[in-house]
Amino acid sequence: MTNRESSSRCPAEVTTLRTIMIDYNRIGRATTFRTALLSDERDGIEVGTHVLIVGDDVPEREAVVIELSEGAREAEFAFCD
Amino acid sequence: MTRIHLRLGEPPADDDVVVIHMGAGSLDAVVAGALRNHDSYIGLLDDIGRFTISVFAVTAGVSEVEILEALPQGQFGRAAFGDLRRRSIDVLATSVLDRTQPAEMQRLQQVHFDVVIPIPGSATPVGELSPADLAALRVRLGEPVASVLALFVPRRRK
Repeated sequence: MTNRESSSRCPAEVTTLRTIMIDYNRIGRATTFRTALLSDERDGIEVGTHVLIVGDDVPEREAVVIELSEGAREAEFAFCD
Repeated sequence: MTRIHLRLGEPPADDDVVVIHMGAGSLDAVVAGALRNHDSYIGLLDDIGRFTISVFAVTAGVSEVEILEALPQGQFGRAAFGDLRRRSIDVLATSVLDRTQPAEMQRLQQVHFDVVIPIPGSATPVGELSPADLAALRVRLGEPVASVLALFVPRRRK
């Protein structure tokens, strides 16, 4: 079962964003992507949460959670730019 | 859901095949990827997960330029497949299947390989580990990941 966002995705409110480090070798130049979330990334995350996506040698980008699996084990994100 | 598909056939037969690791080779980032992807391998070969590093081979009609253009990283490192084989580093022929992948990434899946980091995987999903256990595992992965990344130097700008 998943929760999926249906309203507008961006822009975020101005807050300190949690950082999620992803493997761009898995997603390339995708505008939305799915990834597993580790236990130290799940707390308080929900559809609509904005995060900062970082990777190896790729500029930081803001993204928003648009879908979340049961228990927040996996999330789908959409980049905001 | 992201799924890993094990391609039938073998890693490149030719030791001279160029294998590309995209990125600057940031240890933290590569360790993070290995942790995040570990559980995708549970049930693929056996009941154990794998810590891996994604690479792309210049083979099967896919050029280096295609690989570099499909990925956003500014740098990359090359190794010959034989360099990995001679060090007894396992390389799995895998394709990452996900509906969110752009078309150019889907094409690259035919030349996607996973370099298996020489540290045992676990039957316990990394996704179930506590933050403290994750932190300890990050430390344990550092040296073996660095040993693999050392094969992909120098890093080159696109």
